[in-house]
Amino acid sequence: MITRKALNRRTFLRGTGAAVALPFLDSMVPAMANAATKTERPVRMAFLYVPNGIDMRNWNPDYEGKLTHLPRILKPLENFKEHFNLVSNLTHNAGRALLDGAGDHGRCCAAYLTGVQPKKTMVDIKAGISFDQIVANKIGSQTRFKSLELAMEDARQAGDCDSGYSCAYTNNLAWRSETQPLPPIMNPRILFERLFGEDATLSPEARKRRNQYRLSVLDLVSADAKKLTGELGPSDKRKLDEYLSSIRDIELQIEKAEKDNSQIDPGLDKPYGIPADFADHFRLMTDMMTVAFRADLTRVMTFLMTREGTSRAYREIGIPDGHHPLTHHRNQEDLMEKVAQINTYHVQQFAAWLEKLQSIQEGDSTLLDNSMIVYGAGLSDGNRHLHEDLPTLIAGKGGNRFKTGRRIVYRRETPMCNMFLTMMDRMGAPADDFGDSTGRLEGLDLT
Amino acid sequence: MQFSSAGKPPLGIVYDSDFGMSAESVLALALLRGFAGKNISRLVGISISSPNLKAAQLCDVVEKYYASATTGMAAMFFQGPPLGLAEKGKTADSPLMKAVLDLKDPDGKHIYESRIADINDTAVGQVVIRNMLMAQHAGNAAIVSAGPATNLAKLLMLRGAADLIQDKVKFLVLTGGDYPKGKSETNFTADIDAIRKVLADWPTPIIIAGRELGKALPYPAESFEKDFSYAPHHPVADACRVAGSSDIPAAALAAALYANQADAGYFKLSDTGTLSISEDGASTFQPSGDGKHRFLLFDPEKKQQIIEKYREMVSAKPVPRMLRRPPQQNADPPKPDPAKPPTAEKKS
Amino acid sequence: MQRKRKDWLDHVERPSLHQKIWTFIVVSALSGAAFANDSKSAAVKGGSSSSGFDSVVKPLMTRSCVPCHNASVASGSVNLVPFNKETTLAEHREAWDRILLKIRSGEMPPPGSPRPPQDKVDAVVEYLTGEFEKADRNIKPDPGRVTARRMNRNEYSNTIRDILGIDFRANEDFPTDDSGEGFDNIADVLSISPLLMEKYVAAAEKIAARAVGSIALPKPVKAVYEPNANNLQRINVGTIEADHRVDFDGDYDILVGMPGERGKDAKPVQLGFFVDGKLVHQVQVETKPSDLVYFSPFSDVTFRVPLPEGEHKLRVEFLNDDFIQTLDENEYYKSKVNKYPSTISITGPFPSKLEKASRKKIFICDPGTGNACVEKIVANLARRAYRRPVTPDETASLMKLVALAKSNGEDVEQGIQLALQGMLVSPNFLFRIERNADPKNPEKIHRINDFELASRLSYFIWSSTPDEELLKLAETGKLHEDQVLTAQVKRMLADSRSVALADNFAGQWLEIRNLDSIKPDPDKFLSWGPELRNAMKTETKMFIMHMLRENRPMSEFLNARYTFLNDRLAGFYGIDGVTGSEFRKVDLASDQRGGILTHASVLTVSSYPTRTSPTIRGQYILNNILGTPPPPPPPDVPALDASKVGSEVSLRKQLEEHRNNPVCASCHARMDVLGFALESYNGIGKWRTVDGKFPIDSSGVLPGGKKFETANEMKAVLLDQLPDFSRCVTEKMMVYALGRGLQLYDRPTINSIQVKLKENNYQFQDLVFEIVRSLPFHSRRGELLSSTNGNSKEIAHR
Repeated sequence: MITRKALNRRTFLRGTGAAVALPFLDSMVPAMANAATKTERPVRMAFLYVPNGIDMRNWNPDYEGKLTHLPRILKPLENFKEHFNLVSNLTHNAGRALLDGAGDHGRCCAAYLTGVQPKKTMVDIKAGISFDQIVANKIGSQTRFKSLELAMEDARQAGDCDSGYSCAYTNNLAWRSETQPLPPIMNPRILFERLFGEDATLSPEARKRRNQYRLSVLDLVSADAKKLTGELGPSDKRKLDEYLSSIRDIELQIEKAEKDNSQIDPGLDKPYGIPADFADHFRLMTDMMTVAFRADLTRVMTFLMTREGTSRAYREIGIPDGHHPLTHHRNQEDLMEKVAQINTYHVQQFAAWLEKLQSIQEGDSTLLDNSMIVYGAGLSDGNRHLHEDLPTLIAGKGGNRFKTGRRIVYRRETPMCNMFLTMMDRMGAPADDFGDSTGRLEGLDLT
Repeated sequence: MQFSSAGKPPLGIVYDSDFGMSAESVLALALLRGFAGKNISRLVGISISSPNLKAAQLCDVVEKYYASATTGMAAMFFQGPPLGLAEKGKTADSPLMKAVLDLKDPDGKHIYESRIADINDTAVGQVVIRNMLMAQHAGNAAIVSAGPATNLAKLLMLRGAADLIQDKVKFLVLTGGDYPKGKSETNFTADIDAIRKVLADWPTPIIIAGRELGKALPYPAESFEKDFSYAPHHPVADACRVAGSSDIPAAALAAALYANQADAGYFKLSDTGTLSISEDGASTFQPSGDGKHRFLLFDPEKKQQIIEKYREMVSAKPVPRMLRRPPQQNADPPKPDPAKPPTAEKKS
Repeated sequence: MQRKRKDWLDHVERPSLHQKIWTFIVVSALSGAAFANDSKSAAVKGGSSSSGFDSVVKPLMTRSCVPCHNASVASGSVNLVPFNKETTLAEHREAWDRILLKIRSGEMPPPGSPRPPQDKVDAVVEYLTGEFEKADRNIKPDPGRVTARRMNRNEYSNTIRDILGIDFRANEDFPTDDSGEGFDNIADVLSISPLLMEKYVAAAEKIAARAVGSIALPKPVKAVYEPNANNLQRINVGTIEADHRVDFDGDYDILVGMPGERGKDAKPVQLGFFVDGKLVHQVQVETKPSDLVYFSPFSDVTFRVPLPEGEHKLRVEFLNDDFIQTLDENEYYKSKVNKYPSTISITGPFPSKLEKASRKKIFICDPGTGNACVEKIVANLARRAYRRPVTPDETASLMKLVALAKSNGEDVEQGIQLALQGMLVSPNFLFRIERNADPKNPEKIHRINDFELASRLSYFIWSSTPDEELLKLAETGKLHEDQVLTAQVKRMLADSRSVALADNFAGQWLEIRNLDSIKPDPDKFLSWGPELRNAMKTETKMFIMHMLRENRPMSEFLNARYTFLNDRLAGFYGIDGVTGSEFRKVDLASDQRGGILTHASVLTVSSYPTRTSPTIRGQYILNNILGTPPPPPPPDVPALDASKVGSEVSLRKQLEEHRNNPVCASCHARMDVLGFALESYNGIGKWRTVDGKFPIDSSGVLPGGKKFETANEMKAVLLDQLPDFSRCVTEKMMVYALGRGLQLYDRPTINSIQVKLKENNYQFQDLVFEIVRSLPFHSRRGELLSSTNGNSKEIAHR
């Protein structure tokens, strides 16, 4: 009888956490084959979103150009100064009230990647397709998953989310269409199962048969759905269309898996349950995200650290008060101090992830060099719900294209969507415009 | 149950000018602030078409002065959007800019300090206009343009801007040319392509305040000595004094006045027609039933009344803005708001 | 230099300030020109015509409202000038509803401004109320329509449980469902993402295999939960818990390790083994010294239990172990003094002997006997999965899957399994789709057919699929008949599945679900823990079910003289005479408790992690009891300095200060006062008389002058507004039952339900019946095959 020591999250994490450096990743040779054989390394893109704004006093340096002394919140990134750019004055006009009044938390989150002011409603939600999904649709066919949506906090269970905005606006970052947000995965086990299959045990033949069955089942049901749509009104039809397009995605996934059925060895046990400790949870998620990038399972990820308006308390660092209540500090030092501590704690976690990405060699560069990892928020000052000078940091060189290690200040009101356009270029999914863009973001490149 | 849409506030005005290049550009800002202080309109955005940081600094100093009356929580809420500044090129500093920005007290301290240190403290002109228009109710905005049309032309090139203007902007008032024929005009020559694009593509009515109107209704220089005594230093007075002792021709004031009280009958309106600009910046107005342009016409009978209105509004004290007026202060019923759409607007 | 950032409120037409309420004010409909004239007339003529409006309403509006709410001031961006004609009552009804509400509640005119004489106010309220009742009677009845609704996670799990007898936990595997209008069963918000689809495909495969029982069990594996691996929670000396995921249905060997020994004549104890709170096994354990000589005494006990796949909370407890009571805390873990459970190990899976319930449900005949039976099996399964009879074509295409499996050399059972897998991914299973009765005239209002009705009933009351009886009645076309319907609803409410109404409706209406995510500060609230949290949930849940099944008057939601307790919660409440961990109905002697507002669950979800918040509790009452949600606060809302609360300044003092700000006053005058009445209960609902060093003062005066001294008197004030409460609950349950937001045309329905409820003293169960009988529940309007939903501002953004 095999004996498995019942899992103990801490030891388990110590195992992988450290191990995430080279050793275990090199064990994934088959999976990497396709990535490795390419001369041109794929460029990956990820967004890490933090809610409720950031204490800008401790985020913006008091200088432009080369990053030297880092403000308090960015201190944890000291060792990565050379590897990211801090971008100032980007604005999301679509996050502002315009004519829709209160609800900046709901709005700024929904507008963040869509560049669209979301419809103020509790029911018939409407924003826009998010730019990460435009990229995913363009390049997704080259990887097993078009994109991955992740989060650390479960969707809110009951009650209104923000002043008449449906919870869908704050529970999700990525939008597949203007009416369809993409729910993130927050349970490490589910992420594990999605990335590495629920049945590493299955024999190649068994997997082949299973896929054959799945495909024929999908044929059958899409026939059912098509039959139905003919007889339905637009709003019912919309639901069925969502259903059908999701089916198509899975058929593609299966076909891809058929072509390259190399089982990826994630190098870690299947995790169970959700770690209570924030850092543990984050590490577990980013361990797997790292593998996903490394093995080229996907090139697009969006990660909602916690929800806008969240009242999560950070006992991990001795803060029992809810995050959102704290951010309405009306300039009270003791409350602002706690906000700064939370902001710094988040950046610490981020730094730990960058370290992993940086530790992975890809030819003569690193995984981080070949990525664009954006760390940002939909509000700058959470106390006053400001939507200008959004705290934004791009780590990685986007495939050795970006000149990193600088703070770049743009003119005020420069649309955040301009940065998205530039990133879409890097990802090989260029577009003329997006959201309220007025052009590309100049000055990021090496020359 | 959810329902939508809120009360409509007074007209929102965007002011686009070659600020500080001429006294009238400064006077027009003062006038707009005066009307805003009386809640007849709201000055929602300012963009500058002369690419010169000093112009922005002068404008900031004036804005800062009018904001100075507002304090406390309200002060934090009611600080304006960034100034828009045209992107490329550089125009020479004007005497007005120097007069104000270099003004020092006996101990050599600057009297006026701008909050604008470099170009990144300003925003791209057309972006400010676009963003501010998005925050206005349909048909509840107007644009006053006293200078090259650079920013407006760029605005028209932004995606969706034409629809946005169509939806929000009641009308555009611009200064330049003469009725019916005008010779070369700096507002036009400075950016011929821009003014031509605006005249051709602007989706809502355009009202023009010509030079001759400005000359006919000059701002009295004596005002600077009489009306501003309430403040030891008034940036508007300090700036305009350099223009000398003669009265100041001010088409910009006429434009701004019209934008605020289009239906108060200060001006007659020409028939509709089309203004065209020649290579050398000369202008011709061709009347036509389907034209989208009209000139403001001088009405001698109104002259006195208009000049007085100018003085009252330009020299009005800064008004503190309030988040919400305590009820008791407004026991008396409100004055009727005379703002009515101009006849021209009906056609669009 | 650090740049100062600026906000733009005046430029964006001052939004946030109290906008939410005022977004109701539909004014932009009126042209700018209209403003001028209206304001002139409003100011000049008092009331020329003789209509009630001009004589009663207009003078008061002009004198008391318009001075602050006009084109140029527009406090809270409200302009009431245009509301000076009788015709506006109809044109801007929503706005008028809010105006009436404000006047009636005494919120407006706000404190500090001249108050009109009360009789004038009453006259206005009476006039408007009358006019609106008239108006509502004339609204054309329209059932509205519900978009095709996919099952949410709870509905999916319950449906699988009821058609296959399989315990599948969708909430462990599927992404969380988004919610709207405060509920997670709103059709428009429930979408299908590729991730969810993936999960559906995988789940269908797994469920089908589990149901047919074709999963080959892997080699047994052993998992150990022990203190030094810190994967074990010790609840108390006699009780330990572990979270364990079971990957396969099957039997498992449970070994419990127990160090220590008790006295020579110590009695044996009963060891109970609980799975997810249910006692599944009991065994007697010897506690006196064994004859064997141990350096450190130790014994263990092993037993085998069946466990379904999924994440489980395993619990080992010495049942009513009196010996512990005789011990001193420091003796608990002395191995020579006491014996106690300390490790759990699970080994498995082992094949189960007993046949799976799911097989009984599937194999209604022996598929070995040939295709006829196989078809029968498939058709029967499909009927249950699709909640309606299936067409021969549908059966035929499912049979193709059976054939496919056969062609792969698999047996017929695996063929059936594959067909089942297909059904579980079909839109006919995942969605509840209602058809247009008359395709030629889709927009026609029509009764839904009996099968659709059966599903509406079962998903409303059970959050699950219709059972055999409902389907049979639908087949005979009798279900919609009044007596039949009534009988069925009675039966369904009596059925244990109706607890879904407590879990899913009340759980969201009263925000009880948030108990799982909320994390009170353990340093501030020592008694907080999973035990207490679950007890809180159970109290409210049992209370709701009692209200429902016994058809109690809704007033008891506010002032019941009884509640449901076990020893843990009774201890927490300071109520004596309740022993044992099972819950029972307890009559309340003191008036410290009574009604949901004094349930610890409600008091906890309406607090901050570190302290109470009268504001949140007040808002909770306005949202969930009175149905009059306050507008959201302006940005830069002055937050409280939590660290000071209870020490330097009393919370009350701080809130009163912030209420001096006129911006805040108009709402907080109401919210906070209601919340303060509950200050006698701390952040997790424990009774208290002081907060920090300040004595609790729960007295208050509401706008309009109603006074109270205690929580009880406040509840009495709420009871005076029973009709508002009833309407609030009705609207919420309506949203939940229909899966859509309410519209203007639902008003007549809501109103007539109120009339009926009133006749019978507002009984809770009646509400369920009234909703089931209501037009929007049994009928629907179809939809033309062309869409029209425009977002006017859109052009500007995209």
